[in-house]
Amino acid sequence: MSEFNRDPYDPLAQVQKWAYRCSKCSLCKYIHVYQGEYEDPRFVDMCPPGKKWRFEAYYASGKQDIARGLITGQLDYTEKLLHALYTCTQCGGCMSVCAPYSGKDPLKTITALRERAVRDGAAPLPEHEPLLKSLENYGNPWQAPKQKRAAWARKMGVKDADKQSPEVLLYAGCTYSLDANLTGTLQRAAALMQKAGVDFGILGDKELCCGSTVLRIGDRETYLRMAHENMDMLESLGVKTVVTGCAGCYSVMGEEYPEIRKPSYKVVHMVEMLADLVADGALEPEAEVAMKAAYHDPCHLGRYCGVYDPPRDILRALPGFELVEMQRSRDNSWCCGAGAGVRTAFPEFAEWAARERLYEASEHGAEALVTACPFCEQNLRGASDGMEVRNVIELLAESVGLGGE
Amino acid sequence: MAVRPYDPTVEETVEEVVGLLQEVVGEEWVSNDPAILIGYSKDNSFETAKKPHIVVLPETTEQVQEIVRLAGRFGMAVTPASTAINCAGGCIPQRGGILLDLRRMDRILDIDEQNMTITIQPSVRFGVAQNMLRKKGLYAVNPSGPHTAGVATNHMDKGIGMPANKYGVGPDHIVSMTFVMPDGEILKTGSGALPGAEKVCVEGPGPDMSGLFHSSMGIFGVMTEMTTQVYEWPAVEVLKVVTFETEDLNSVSEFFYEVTREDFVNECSHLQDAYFSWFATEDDEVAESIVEYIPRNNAIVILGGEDEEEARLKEEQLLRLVERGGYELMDDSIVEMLSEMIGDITYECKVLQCTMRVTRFFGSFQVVWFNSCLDRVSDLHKKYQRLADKHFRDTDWRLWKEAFPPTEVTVYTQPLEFGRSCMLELDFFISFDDSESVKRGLAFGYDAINMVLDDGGLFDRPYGGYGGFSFGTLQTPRLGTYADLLGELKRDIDPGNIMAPGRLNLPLAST
Ligand SMILES: Cc1cc2nc3c(=O)[nH]c(=O)nc-3n(C[C@H](O)[C@H](O)[C@H](O)COP(=O)(O)OP(=O)(O)OC[C@H]3O[C@@H](n4cnc5c(N)ncnc54)[C@H](O)[C@@H]3O)c2cc1C
Ligand code: SF4
Ligand code: SF4
Repeated sequence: MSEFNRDPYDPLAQVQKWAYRCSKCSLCKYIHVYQGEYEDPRFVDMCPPGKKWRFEAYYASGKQDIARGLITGQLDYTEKLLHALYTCTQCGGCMSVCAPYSGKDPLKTITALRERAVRDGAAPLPEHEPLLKSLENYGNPWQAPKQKRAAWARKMGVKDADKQSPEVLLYAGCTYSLDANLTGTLQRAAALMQKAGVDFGILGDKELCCGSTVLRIGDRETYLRMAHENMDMLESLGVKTVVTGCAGCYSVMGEEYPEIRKPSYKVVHMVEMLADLVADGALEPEAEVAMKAAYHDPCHLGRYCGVYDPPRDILRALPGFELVEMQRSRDNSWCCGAGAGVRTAFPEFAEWAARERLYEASEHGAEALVTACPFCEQNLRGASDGMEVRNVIELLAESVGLGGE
Repeated sequence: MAVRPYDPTVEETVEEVVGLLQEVVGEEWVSNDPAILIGYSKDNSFETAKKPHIVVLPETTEQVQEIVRLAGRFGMAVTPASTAINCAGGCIPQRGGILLDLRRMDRILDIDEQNMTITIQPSVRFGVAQNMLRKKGLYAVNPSGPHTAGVATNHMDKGIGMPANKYGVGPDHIVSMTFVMPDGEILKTGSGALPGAEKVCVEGPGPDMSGLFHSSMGIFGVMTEMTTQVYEWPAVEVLKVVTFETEDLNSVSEFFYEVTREDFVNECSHLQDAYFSWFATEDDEVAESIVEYIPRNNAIVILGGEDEEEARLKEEQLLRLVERGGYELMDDSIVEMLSEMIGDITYECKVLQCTMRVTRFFGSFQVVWFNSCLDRVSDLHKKYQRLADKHFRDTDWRLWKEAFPPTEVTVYTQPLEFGRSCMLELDFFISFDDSESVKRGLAFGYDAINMVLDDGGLFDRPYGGYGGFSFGTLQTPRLGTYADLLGELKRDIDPGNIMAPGRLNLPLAST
């Protein structure tokens, strides 16, 4: 630990080496630039709050200064500080640029700043309260009764993972199972797995929230409680694989849980499993999906977990589908604006970020935007005034003849 | 104009100025919130952290004029920042006041393909400009730095990159600049002094005033527009690496003398083994093995031309020179492998394509950057090494955590002006979250700068972590009449001393 901060319980103590060594090179503000490779200077920004508010504090580099200020006691919490801190979507754009080139990870500072803000009683924000209350009362952030969690699977003949010991657990996630506009995607995912002969089950109303939202908001204590409960439950099932269609659940279960302890199961994202099933011939996309569309990389799937190709492989396998690559794609992706509690606390900003994305897609000649995350779907759809927003799973289901279910 | 004495401790004054600035640029583009201010207080230099009182983000030249006039009325300092990656404390406000963050002024206003110029606002980055120019077969001479560096500020700040030997340093490319002067009036430099002649030539009418603004750190006004020369992108480029087994840099200098005079290479620079590893990999073990594999000293040479034939002829000329001098050429397969590894992290810097990889080691990379002559390089390097040994011999650098040993100094030589002179960078690592490391680094830097000055080295720009100290604190007192006259000019042009006060350490009797 550095001499500047000797409090072992201060989350900032762990990350201050990043805060103090930010070289102010500004690379974290823009996409990686390869010579002659990008076409359009309108699509070079990578940090949504930075692009919107422009002051240093809204970028990762300015957050390192805020950390320094809090460590040395120069700064107190102000409304502006919390605004700069909580408009960060934790999209990881800064991490993907800074970390490989400098060994620094500015996102770790941002996570620690939020934990410190919660510890200091300055956060969560009042706007986050209903979400947190809902988690306490219902076990999900959507203020929906627990029983509703199983409703999507009624009449689907899916195994009860708790009783029938399947090999694979389909972890539905709060958003897919509780947002009426998204349950169709979940049903199609299950139908695709059934068609491919995957032995899987679900937890239904026994499923617990993965804890992603509380982790990203900075409430580490609650997150750890939820993560432990979840890991205990998943391990007790004896499943070999946990598959989920939610990018948030996927990154937290696949990347964060193992930091607590080594899990007894493997975590995969639905698009990874489906891409394998298509490649193996277990699923054969045959029906035409005539569409010229761009793929939007969800941050938690792409930058957090490195899953870039499987969704594209699926889309390329769809007859008639024309895939458009936007300038900001893969690790250079522009966040949809929803993540890390931003849509809850700052819905207008989240919508602005989504509109930027839709605009980019249309400027690249895309007629639709396809993604693989329920939050991106919700947010992009909410902001769209014409462009269709689809999920990879839906399109694959349509092509293998499961579209209408 | 009446100057109202400004006392930054009087909160009402700050609030009043905030309100007035909001009227100029809109509410959302002004802030005096501590969380915003702290973002402008520190960079990767030894400059102590200092906050502005207000940050403002204008979008137009007219807004900049109004802001500067307003600052004048209140006697409030104005520090401009365009891309703010100088890493030399250049944008840290020495006396508080207004931090003029120009990042919203980032438009390319014109690319004149025929006459090979680009007209830009101050915050246009190399990454953007280069991509737009390349589509037209052109490029701006860029530093060996990140794509986030500003074209206009880098040129104004005497930027140096690998093409400097052939095309010169930053100011050599500048055709004209538009400045908002401390009284809010507009001044155009170069041929732009004559309305309608903005793009004609680098030299202005009669005595050229442009030089006053080069590396001036904002003390004479705010540049809001620049027209600068761009060059043809060679259709064919060949990368060659000439190697020198010896630690002594004399042979590198000899090679540069020859290759630069013969004038057939587009770009060249010296690179020591450690740089290759910094640029090529983030894996420490691979980095170490690269250092083992590669000769200590190397010269990167980029040949280019209209077609393969021209490139081949130039390559033959290089081979003859290498043979004559008894040097070696790095095997093409190794060059290719290294290029691929470096190419993986390709940023904007042309061909060398390196960037912030230098800070990948957790410690903070520090440079003493100055101009000298090629025949002094070897001697300077030896002196510098002895100085580093003296300062850091008894330090347990491992306590500074991941930092590189500070005694492991490296040197980078960039020939300039056909080998008449060169830019030298003496590099080492310290750790910014360890006060002992910072203290020692600072003491070492002071000694190193004085050593360079005693040896006839020149700090022509504030650059690197010691920027402010080398350029201003230690060099200016040695400038005599030159500094006195600059001080007088500063007093005449900016009687209220509002523009970036405290910079350059000029003798300003009245402040
Ligand atoms: C790792 C790294 C490597 C680099 N390597 C090189 C290299 O090899 N060669 C090289 O030449 N450069 C290099 N640079 C870039 C170089 O540091 C900057 O481009 C240069 O110093 C100017 O900084 P800037 O462009 O960000 O301008 P800024 O930081 O915005 O400003 C620089 C100075 O000019 C003043 N200023 C800013 N805007 C204005 C304005 N509009 N009007 C008047 N004054 C203004 C500021 O107050 C400040 O004093 C490197 C940078 C980094 C981070
Ligand atoms: S956070 Fe990383 S990429 Fe961003 S300015 Fe700091 S060092 Fe550079
Ligand atoms: S995580 Fe994303 S939104 Fe947050 S600072 Fe980094 S780039 Fe910006």
